[in-house]
Amino acid sequence: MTKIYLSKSEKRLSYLLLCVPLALLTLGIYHGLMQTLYRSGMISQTSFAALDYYQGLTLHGVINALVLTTFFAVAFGHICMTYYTGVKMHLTTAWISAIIMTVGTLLTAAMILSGQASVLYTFYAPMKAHPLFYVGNTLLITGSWVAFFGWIGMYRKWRREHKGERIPLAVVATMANFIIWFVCSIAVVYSLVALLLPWSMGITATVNVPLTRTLFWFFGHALVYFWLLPVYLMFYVMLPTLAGGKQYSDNAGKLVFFLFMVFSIPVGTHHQFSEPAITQGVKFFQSLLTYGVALPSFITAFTIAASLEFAAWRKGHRSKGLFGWMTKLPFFEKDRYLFSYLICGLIIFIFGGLTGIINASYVLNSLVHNTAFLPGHFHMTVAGPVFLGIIGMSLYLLERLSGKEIRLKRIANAIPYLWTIGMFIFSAGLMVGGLRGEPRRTNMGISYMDPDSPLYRPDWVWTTGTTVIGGVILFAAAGLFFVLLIDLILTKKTKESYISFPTYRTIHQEKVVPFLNSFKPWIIIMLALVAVAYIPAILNVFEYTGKEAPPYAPQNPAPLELYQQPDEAGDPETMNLE
Amino acid sequence: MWSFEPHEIRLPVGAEVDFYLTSKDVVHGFNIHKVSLNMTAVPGGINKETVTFKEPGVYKIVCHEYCGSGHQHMMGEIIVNYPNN
Repeated sequence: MTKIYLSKSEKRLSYLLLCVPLALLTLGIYHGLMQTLYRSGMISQTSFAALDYYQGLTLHGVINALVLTTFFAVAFGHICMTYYTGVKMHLTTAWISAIIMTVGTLLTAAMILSGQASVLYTFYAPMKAHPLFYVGNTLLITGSWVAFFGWIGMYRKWRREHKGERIPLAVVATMANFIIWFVCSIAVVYSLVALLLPWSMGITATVNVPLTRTLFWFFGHALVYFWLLPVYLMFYVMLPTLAGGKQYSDNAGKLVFFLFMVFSIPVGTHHQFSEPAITQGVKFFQSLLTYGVALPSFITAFTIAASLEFAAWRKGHRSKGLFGWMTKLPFFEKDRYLFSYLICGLIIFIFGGLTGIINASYVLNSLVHNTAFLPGHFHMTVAGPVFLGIIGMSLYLLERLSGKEIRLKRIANAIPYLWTIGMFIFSAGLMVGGLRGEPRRTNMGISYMDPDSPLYRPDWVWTTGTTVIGGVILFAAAGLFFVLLIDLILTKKTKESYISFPTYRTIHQEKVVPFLNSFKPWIIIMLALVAVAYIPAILNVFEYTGKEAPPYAPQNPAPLELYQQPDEAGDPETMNLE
Repeated sequence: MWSFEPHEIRLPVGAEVDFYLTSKDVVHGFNIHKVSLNMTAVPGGINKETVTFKEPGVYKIVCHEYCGSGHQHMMGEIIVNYPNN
């Protein structure tokens, strides 16, 4: 197990990047539970404890899905790039990036908490947020780019010093993820800076709504892979060793990360199947590509299963049954608690992935689009492997950065199992509800779940009730995690501070395959496919959009009058007066 | 902002209907779950879907995209069995 020692500045940076989102996560988790209570009608109010339902929902989405994931990807990326290349961390870019991201996050959080940005994390125009909400989001995203620019330098240096050698898989994973992230987020940053910001400030009168939606989803679907790939890195590089075995194939792992580069972005319009301005042909083509993006996950299912089975055989498993080897895995070894976070994430993701394929299908999508089925699906991805990987690895890294050891290891080991039980109950409630037409993103307690309302829907009572049971279990599991963190702060330092990861080994000694040892061909294929998929979509949007829209506040049915006609010198009325 | 226009439509059984949908303000959802009619109303665009109502009954329209503080109160229905009731 190689050890690396981080400098004081590198450690401070890592603490900042790991702890800012974990602190905010308390709010995000709190409003996760609250939503199940609102939706089931247990709370039949527009707001509770000074937090409006939709304000809380915006917090829940922005903190859990944007802030936590982006901060973690950057923090983990810094450590992985340093650990696996052996090149010193590029501190200047790293600090600039961390500061920009933190400022952006604080601005965004302040705007949501002050009630001026209850527009949900998708910020669909023409509902308008405070301009600083758009600025904050932009800084969070562009800040993460700066970290990536530093890694490009580190990668190039490694490449110069290791000509012809195979790139470490963890480096491929980290760089591939940020190449996807950089390309996809250009679209949303353009939308935020060039379209939404001037419009929210009254500099422009109207905005092209289908265009902002299309730019958002250019980013929005690749975003889910940006969440996922750091955890895929853990599945490939760390999980096999944690299980007591080796990775099945290094080249298969690389192919997977490169395929994600190719397929992550040109699939975004499958989120827009139900809307106008994009033609059927474009939607159909991107629907097919969406099945393409399932391919690397299927490869992963086989590669990781093979690696785990190999581990079980090494540990003395000898029966011929198909699944008997699974009982040999170290589910309850408290000193190897990271294994439980990853394996639980993997189990949840089987269902998250399969429901994703349902959503990609045009016809099935019309049954479930924007119903509670959707959050049911994506909680089994982002709140499954992604969330468990992030909190498990954060705990693992914080222990090593601080030189401390957590005292409640049994609890650390149990949290992911509790979370998995809660998540299955919660998601089942949402998905069955969705199949019965329950809408997502809706404060159902004051209408559909209120027996006195003309909208009352008794057929949704038990499904929303089920989500409460799941929500309470999830809340308890997350609560235990925060207990662990507080306990970690309170314990004394017992060891030296260093970073080490489980040693990466592969079963097969494979040849270096040139096209799996270079980013260039994959970047070219990626950009070409993005162009083929998205140029027609953007042309559609311009061709079929009629009137642009003025801004609206979420509480007010009339448009806001922010835009003022500039006084023109050549105005005919003024000229008449003269 | 928080209503469907018209909010009630009466149809005979077996009617094949072309729905044209748009929004005069923010983005709304339009979901008639029983017939899998699932559309998004986007200002600036017009959506079209065709649906046949084979069974008599009341088909509730649900707005399933967040459209502001009145989102959960949007109400609309299609009553099929007209004029035979």
